[in-house]
This record gives sequence, structure tokens and C-alpha cells, in this order.
Amino acid sequence: MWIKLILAALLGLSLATALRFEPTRGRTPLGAQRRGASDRPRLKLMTWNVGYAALEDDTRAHTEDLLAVAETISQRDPDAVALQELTGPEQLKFLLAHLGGRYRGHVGRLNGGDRVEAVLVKDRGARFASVPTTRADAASAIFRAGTGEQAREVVFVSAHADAFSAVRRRRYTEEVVEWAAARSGRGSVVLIAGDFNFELSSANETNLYTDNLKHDSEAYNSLLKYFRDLGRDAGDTAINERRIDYIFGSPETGLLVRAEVLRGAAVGRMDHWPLVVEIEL
Amino acid sequence: MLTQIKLEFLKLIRSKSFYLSFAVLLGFVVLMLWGFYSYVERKAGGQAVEQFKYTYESKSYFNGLTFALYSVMFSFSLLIPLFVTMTAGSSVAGEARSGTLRMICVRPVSRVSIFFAKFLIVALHTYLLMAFFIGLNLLVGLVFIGWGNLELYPGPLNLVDEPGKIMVDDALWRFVYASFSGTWALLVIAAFAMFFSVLFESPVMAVVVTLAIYVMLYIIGRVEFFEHLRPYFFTTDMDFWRDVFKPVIPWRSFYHYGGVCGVYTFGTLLVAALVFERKDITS
Amino acid sequence: MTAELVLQTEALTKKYRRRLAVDQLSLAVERGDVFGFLGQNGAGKSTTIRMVLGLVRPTSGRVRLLGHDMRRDARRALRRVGAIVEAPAFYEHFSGRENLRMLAAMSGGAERGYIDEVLGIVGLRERAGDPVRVYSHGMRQRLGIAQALLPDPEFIILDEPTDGLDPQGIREVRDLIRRLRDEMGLTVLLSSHLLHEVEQICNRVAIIDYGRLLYQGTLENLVTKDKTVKLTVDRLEEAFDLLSSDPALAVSRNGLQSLYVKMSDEQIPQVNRLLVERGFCVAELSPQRETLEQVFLRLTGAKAPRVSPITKRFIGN
Repeated sequence: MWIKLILAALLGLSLATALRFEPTRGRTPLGAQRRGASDRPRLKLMTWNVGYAALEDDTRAHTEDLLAVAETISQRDPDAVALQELTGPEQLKFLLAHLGGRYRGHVGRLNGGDRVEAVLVKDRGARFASVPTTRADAASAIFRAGTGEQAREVVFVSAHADAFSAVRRRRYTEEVVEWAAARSGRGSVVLIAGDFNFELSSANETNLYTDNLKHDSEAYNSLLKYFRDLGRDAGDTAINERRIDYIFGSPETGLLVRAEVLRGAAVGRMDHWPLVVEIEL
Repeated sequence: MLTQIKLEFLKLIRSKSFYLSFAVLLGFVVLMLWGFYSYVERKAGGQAVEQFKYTYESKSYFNGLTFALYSVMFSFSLLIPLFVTMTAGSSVAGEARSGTLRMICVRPVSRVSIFFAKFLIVALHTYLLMAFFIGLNLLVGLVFIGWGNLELYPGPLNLVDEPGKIMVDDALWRFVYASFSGTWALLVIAAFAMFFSVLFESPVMAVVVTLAIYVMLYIIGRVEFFEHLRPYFFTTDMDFWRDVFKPVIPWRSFYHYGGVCGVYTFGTLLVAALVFERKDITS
Repeated sequence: MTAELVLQTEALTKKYRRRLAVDQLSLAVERGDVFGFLGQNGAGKSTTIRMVLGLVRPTSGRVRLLGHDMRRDARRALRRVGAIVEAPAFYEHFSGRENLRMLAAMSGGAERGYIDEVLGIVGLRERAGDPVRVYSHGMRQRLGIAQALLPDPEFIILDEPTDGLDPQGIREVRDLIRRLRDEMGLTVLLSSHLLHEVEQICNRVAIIDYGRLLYQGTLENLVTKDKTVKLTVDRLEEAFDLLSSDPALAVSRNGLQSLYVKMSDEQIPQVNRLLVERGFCVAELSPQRETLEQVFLRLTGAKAPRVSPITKRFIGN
């Protein structure tokens, strides 16, 4: 009889444990997502590598596609956009013109490369700066979001790490992180958006004995040390089931309202889709 | 009760299948080692030993702990459950088939205590299998590759969705935890096998039915199309044991799914014990 | 004075779905009995024994074993009961002694010396260290009896203990059972289909068929209740016709020499008078003692040839 009682007690204990520690359904790594209205200022951000897939002759952005890019931006109406793989300032001008003057923009320095990153912001008072790296400089915009007491300074960086070398990606990332973390420490909301080309899954790694995974993982971890990966739950951002476009936010970022990948927005032979993240400051 | 446990333990350690299970696990580790070596041979152009040495000395992510982790993860799903099912499935039905069940059931002991003693020995065997297998893999990893920090990546193990790292001392403790959490998860299968062992007179039937259910749910649970069914399978809940290898153990979900596994185990055992108590022994 | 009942079943019934295996069976085994439990294969003997020992749950009815109700107090009842249920089975890779030690532990333990003593009783002391897998059938049966003796029983149930044994083995087991009764004072329930054996060692028997009790009582009463009388007369054909016309008599004949008439003690002088009055010359009128086998076959209505083989045996007697 006592054995049956023991079994029944263990059953009850297991049931109580299962109920007591019921994990919250769905993962919210960035803290609770707020539902319902809030009076806190919101910020909608977009990042998009508008270049072409690696096997094309010219893997940079094609000007004729920028009309569609402008249309997507207009439809989604983000406060700030990070673009990668533009050929240079002339494509930015073209894009700004087709956005009806609602955005201002800036491109990073070429530094001998053939493509640049760009930032577009709505704020008329935005300042722009380059983020120095040993590769082409990244572009950044510093602008204010919100009004009155709730207004915050936002630093928004558009970055693009090397597609072919994990070592170079790691170095580049660490340089961007160093620059951005310094600004985060001054109380600004710092956001890094762009294509980092991280290969973080050993399933996609053809050789277990290379250090590529290690470099990419440590580069990614160096970002996570200071920033939160806001688009983590939005899914793949590029063809072949890869999530290589990110928007990272400093701890001051606030609540994540929504993260979404706009599949179907790509035109021509683009291999990335735009990632849109909406946050509450 | 202690007498029954002692007798069941004697039966276990005197059975050939007990030693066979450890021998097969040993063979599996040798195969894993050979597999990894031949892989490196191919990749490194006949420089396997140097490559292993290099990966260790350069503190690259692949080391003895990674080897142990891969080996344990791959074998846990099918190989160890096979032995657990065989032991548990034959525990009652095997004795019914050989006729010894009626010999012990005419003794002045309760059937429930006979059943419970059998379960405790199955649990002990399960733990010994887990501990032996983990220990062996760690030893082989140490001797052939060397230990280092346990680096975790999203990939075939489906363990983490972002890279992480567990320092070597902590990682060794994680393997110790895994021997317990793995045993707890496997007890679900053991309980099912014991239930069928009570239900059927044939140990083969009990083992086959248990394995069929387990493998079926295991396979369906891993097919992407049936992802929506996954939460309803006990095989999904059993996966909680792997959480000990996450950089930060998600204790809340660990306890939850551990509790769910306990519900499966003790619920099934309770039903099996009641059935066994009332069962007509006609063999 | 009423004898103490070691085993009592009251309207014991077991139904497997539609099949009635044991039907309202009421047995009573008295202390000191060597009780023969007889029935054809499938008659319900083993099911009854399993119910008595708690292996099978009765559909209805009650079992009292050593004064304890098996439904409520089975463990206490089984403490002083030893049993072999069908072929004894053991852990093959353990030795005979180890098997006994394990089974003794489950019966509450036994001293090492007692296990050796039991092994001596069944004549297995020399081979006690050998693994059971090398034991012959006879050795296993003897080991089965040994394990039944482990709990230092008051009552021992032996289900077909001589099954599959050669004549020498059967004799050994028979002698052993006698010793259990005579030297150890045990009450024995012996289920067997070897009627000759039962006849030699049992004082009381029960016969069941299709799960129903056909007879329970002393062996003497069973075999002498109805007598077959050998009758040698002149005009055998006429005598056969005359007696066959009486529905109270069962008559058979052995060619042209004798008639065999089943009748009670009271009928014998009546038949004699009838024959004499009708002018028959009665040369022989001798009661034949019916063997247990004959009674058994008669009671169970087994489809064995009822006249000629028996008749042949009578002649042989």
C-alpha cells in the first residue's frame, strides 16, 4: 500500500512542479512586449542590403531597383533606414529624390572599396558621421526621437561586414562595437543595423575544423555584450535560410513592439529582404 | 522491500544483456571516434592526428568535451532508449514467459513491491548506462583530443539558437547533471515499457510496442511538416534533459518539463502497478 | 470433532470471458490430508490452484487458506504455504542453491543450514552448486519441491509434480511426498493425472470436470460406492437380456464367458435371487473392486472405450 502512496505522491509532486514552473509561452528575450496603447515615443527602423546575390556580375545595388526600394520605404514609413551595398553617393541622391524629400541621408566612406553603407532619417536636424573601420567606413546618423521630456538622442549605424572572411568580419564588428559602445555609455540610444554575414550554425559549416564559426560566434557575442539582437525572432533575412541582417539595440532601447522581415520586397536579383523593427523608447 | 531490490539487483548483474549493453555503448564510442577521425582525415588530407592536436592547442571550438557532447546527444535518442526498453520491457513479461513470475508471486510479498523493486533496478540500470556512457566519452575525449571550453553553436544538435560557451570546469559539471537529467527523461520510456511488460505476456511484444511508439513519435516530432503536433508528444518533453548544456540553464522550463516527464513516469507506473496487482498470472 | 481445514474454497468460480473455467467449486482439505486433486487436462485444476495461491483472481467465491481469507490476507496466508504450480521454473544462470536462497529470501528468509537440509531432502545437495540450466527435468522437479519446502510450510501444493518424469523419478517423488506427510507432518494437495500414483498416496480426493466438482471424499468411499460384479451363468445371452431390461443395472459382457454388472451392495442378493428364480445356474457372482482410473473415467465421462479395455483388465485381475 505504501508503495502505491509513494507513486501517487511522486505523481502529485511532478504535476505540481510542472504547473508551478509553467514556462511562459513564446520567447521574449528582450523583455515583455507591451500590448495596448502607450504614450512613449516609438521608433521604426529598417535595414536592407539592396545588393545582388554573390554569383551576379555586379553584386552592388542596381539603380533601377532603387525605385522599388523607395516604394517599400515609403509604404513602411520607417524613421531611419540603413542600406548596404550602394555604389556610392549618387545612388543615395537618387533614392532620396524618389522619397519625396522626406528623408535625409548619408553614405560612409569608400576607403578604396566599391560599395558603401547609407543611413536615411526623417529627422531634419539629424547629424551624420562616419564610423571608422579598417574596411570601408560605416555610416551613422545622430538624431532626436520623441518630443519634450521624452525626447532621446538616437545614434543609428549602418554596417556591412565582409561576406567572405570570418576573421575580417570579426575585426570589423569589434571596431563598430567599440565605436558604438562608447556612444551608448553617454546615454544615447544606440542602434546598429546592417548585414554582418555571420555564419553561426555549425549545420551550414562544411568543415568542423575551421575557426570560422568561432570567429563569427565571438564577433556576434561581442555585439551581444553591449547590445540586444532586436530582430532575433523575425526569421531569415536572406535566401538559403540565412539570418545575416541584424538590428542591435543598446540597453536603453526600451521595449520591442514588433520585428518583421518583409519577404517579397526584394526585386531583381537581390538576395536579402528588409528587416523592420519597431521599438518603444 | 530491500530484499526484493537486492534480488532484482542480483538478477540484473548476473544477466548477459546487462554487460552487452555496456559493450555496445563502448562499440558506439569507438565508431564515433573512428567517424570523427576519418572525417578529419578527409578534410585534413591525412593529417588527422596533427589536426586534432592543432584544434586542441589552438583552443579551437572542437575538443574532447565537444566530442563527448556530440556522442551523448546522438546516442541518447535511440541507442540508450533501446537498452532501457529491453531491460524494462522484459522485467515482468520476461519472468512471466520463463515461469519464474509465478514462482515469486506465490511468496508472501505484495506484487506492487515486486513491481516497484523491478522499476528501481531499471532506473539504476538506466543511470549506470548514462553515467558509463558520459564518463567513457569524456575519457576518450580527454585521451584523444583533450578537454577545453565547451563551445556551443546553433546547428545539428539543435541545442542553442545563438552561440555560447561553457567554461571547462562548469562544462564537466554539466555532464554530471546530464547523467541525472538524461536518466530522468529515459524513465518515461522505462515506465511505458514496464506498463507493456505487465500488459503482455511476451517480452518481445512489450519491447517492440514501446520502441514502436517512441520511434514513431520521435520521427514525427522531427519532421518539419508536423511541427504543430510536437508539443503533444512525450518525446518532446523528454528533450528537457539537454537544457543542462545551454550556456545558461533555463531552470524554469527545465523544472517544468522535468515535472511533465515525472507525470508520465509515475502516472504510467501507478497504472501499471495497479494492473499488475490485479492481473491473472496464467503463464 | 470437526477436522481443522487447511484449505477451504467456497463456490469458487472463474470465468474467462464466456468460458467457465471453474464453476462453483467448494473444496475442503483437512490437516494431515494427502489430498488428490484429479481432473482431465483443461478440467480447471491449475486454475483452481492458481486461485488458491492468489495468482488468479476468482470471478466469485472465496478461498480460505490456513484460516486466512486470500482476498484480504493473502500475504499472511502464503507465509506457511509451499507450492509448485505446473512446471517449476528457475533463474537458469543461477545455481540451484542460489535459486533457493533467492526464493527463501522472498519467503522471509531461511538459514543456510535449512537450505542445505531441504536440498538433502530432495537429494540435490551434491548438485546444488551447478547452474540450473544444466539440470535434468527430474532435478528441476525435485528443486521445485525443495523451493516449496523453503517457507517451512504447514501446507504444500504440488501441481503435477511428476509431470514428465521417468518411472524412477515418479517413484522418487512419490516416496518424497510420503516422507513429507509421515516425517514432516505436512498437509499435501497433489494435483495429478497419474491416478495410480494418487491412489497409492492420497487418503482423500476431489475429482473435477469442466470446472465442476464431481466427487470429494475418501478414496475408499469413491472406489467402493459402486461395485462391478462378475457374473458367470449358463445361458449367458438370456441372462444378459434379462438384466439389461432393468434400468437400474449397467450390464456389459465379455464374449460368451461372463457378464459384468454395476450394482450397489443391496442389489447383489436381489440379482442373485432373480437369476435363480428364472432357472439360471449361477456359477460365479464375485464383486470386482473398481480402480480409481475406472471411477475417474466413469465420472468424467471420458471418451475412452468403456467396455472392452476395462473388461480386459478385469480378466487380467
